[in-house]
Order: sequence, then C-alpha cells, then structure tokens
Amino acid sequence: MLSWADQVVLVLTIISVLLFFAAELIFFRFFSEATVLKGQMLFLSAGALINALLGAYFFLNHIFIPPEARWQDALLCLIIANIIFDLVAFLYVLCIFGPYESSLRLRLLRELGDVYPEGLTREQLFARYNLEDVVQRRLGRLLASQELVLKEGKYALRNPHNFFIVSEKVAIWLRRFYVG
Amino acid sequence: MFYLITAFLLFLLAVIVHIIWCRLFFRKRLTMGSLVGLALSFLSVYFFIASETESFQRGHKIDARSAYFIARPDQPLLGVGLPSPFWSVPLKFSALLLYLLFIPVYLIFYFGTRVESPSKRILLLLGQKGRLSLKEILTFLNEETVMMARLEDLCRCGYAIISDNKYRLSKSGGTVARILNIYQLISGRARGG
Repeated sequence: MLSWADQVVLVLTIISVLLFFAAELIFFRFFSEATVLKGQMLFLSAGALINALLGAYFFLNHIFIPPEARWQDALLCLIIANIIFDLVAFLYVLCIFGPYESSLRLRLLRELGDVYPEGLTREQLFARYNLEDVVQRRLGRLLASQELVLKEGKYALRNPHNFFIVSEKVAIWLRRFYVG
Repeated sequence: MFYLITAFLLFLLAVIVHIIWCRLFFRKRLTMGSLVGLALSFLSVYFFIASETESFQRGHKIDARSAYFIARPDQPLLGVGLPSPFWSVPLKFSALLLYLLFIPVYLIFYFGTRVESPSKRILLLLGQKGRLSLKEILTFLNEETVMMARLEDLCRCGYAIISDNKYRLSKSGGTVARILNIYQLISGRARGG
C-alpha cells in the first residue's frame, strides 16, 4: 500500500510524464532541427510548471494530501515528483530522442537499411552521408542552440561553460576515478 | 527524507564499489553490467532498511543499531539539532523509483567517459583553437575516426557485416532499422544523423 506522499509523487509524475510524451509526439514534428534543443527545454519547463500547479491544487484541496500534512511535506513531494519527471524526460531525450536525432551509428544503419538485404561499399555509403554532412549538421544545431556564434565565416564558442564542455569535465573527472 | 537519503547513499555506495571493482579488474573497458548488478543487489539492503523502519514506526522492538539511524518524526534528526520538517515524509516507493532511475542516468555519464560525440569534439576543438571555419574544422576531424569508427562499431556489435567489400545489415541490424522507421512514422521527425 502506497503512502499519501508516494501517491502524490506518483500521480504528479505520471500526469507530467504522459503530457510530456503526448506533447513530444504531437508537436515535435513541427520543430525544425535548428530549434529542437530549445523545444526540449520548453517541454521540460512546461512539465515542471504543470507539476507545480497540480501539486498546489492537490495541497489546497487535500487531494491525496491529508489535512494534517505540513506545507513543507507537500513541497518535498512536489520537488521529488519534479526530479523524477526530469530524470524520465532526461532519459527519453538522451536514450531515445537524442540518438534518433543525432546518432551517427543509427544514421549509417538506416542508410544500410534502405538497401537491405543488399549492401553498400564504403564509397557508396559515404556518398549518401559523409563527414562534411555530419559536421555541417552539428554546426547548424549548435548555432541554433546558441552554443556557437558565426562571425566572418568562422565559428567560435559563445559560452565556454556550455553543456558539452561541462559534461566533458564530468567525464574526465569520472575517468580519473575509474582509470586512475 | 529518510528513505531518499538511504536510497541515495546506497546508490553512492554501489558506484564506489563499482569504481573499485573497475580499477582492480577492468581498467581498459566499460563494464555496464557490473554496475547494474551491484546497484540491484544493493536494493536488498534498501528493502531491509525500509522494513526495519516500518517496524520502528509501528512501535515494534528492533535492533538497536538500526534504531540509531532512524529518527522519529517528532524528534530532532539523529538526536541533534531541530526536528526536521522533511524527515518523516513517507516516500519509500518514490525513493525506490529514484534509485532505479539513477542507474541508467549514471550509465549515460559512465558511457561518456569512453565515447566522444562529434558535437563534443567540435566544441572541444573550438575551445582549444578559438575561431575556426568549416574547412578548418574538417581538417581536424577525419573520416577514419568519425565515420569508420562508428561503422566498425556496428560490425563489432553484430548489426552489420562485411561481405564482397560491401557493408550489409545483419538480421538484428535490419530489425533496428525497421524500428527506427516506425519511430519516424510516429514522431514525424526527419531522418537524424
């Protein structure tokens, strides 16, 4: 039997995750490749906002939350529901959406899939999708997400502490732990 | 909060044991399965602590060592300081859910210690060199390390095979390609890459 706090967290998480996935499937087809990162941030923020509003509604109307519960307890449930929602959304974006959108391995696999069960030589495969396509596509995305600036035909970092640089620092830190 | 802290500390412990395990036996390769195994085995400790806590809350007599770690809702945290407003919130299932979610999230960062995406390479390159044109960026990246390494990965994982100087999808590769086609149909997104 779940406690009232677990019920609140579970209901808030399920509602926000379902809305997030529904929004992804319905609206994301209209986002261009350049605006895809901004779109994800928008949907994540919307999910968090829905969580907060629903949590406040539950607290004020004593839905799942007993009248004797303190506001701090309700706030903790709301924070945990938001963390779980963010983790689920993060996993979807990084394990399903991200690889589909930007994995080079999956792109090569799909190019081979187009001629399946036949195959392609290395030259034929790279005529369909090559290094220049890969780099141009990524530069376009990074420009749109404002990680980069383009000035006089040259690319430069807009922010030296962007997500990729920070994640690389985390990776170096972790690697040091694992390899020594 | 008690359950959350317990779950977090147990996960941290699983990670520390995994790091020690990897440093002793697997310095040169990723061992994701061992982390999953360790984390899942530490779950039994979580279930034990959770059941002890419930016994304590019901007023049953429990082992003194367990009692030391469990503060009562109306008493100060571990007997020190002011009573914590968050301490007694019963989040046993939520903590379990968080613990299970930590596993794949941590694996993403762990995987990132050995794998470098082209976007990350471009950003690191610009971080080191300053301003670069497309042509200059292309001189720092080559087809062998970016394209061929991934093609070889597909072969190594059994999704593609080389025959008659051609790369062909295996049966499992064909299945993944079909799943991706279905996802494209549902999501309405253009082909990625």
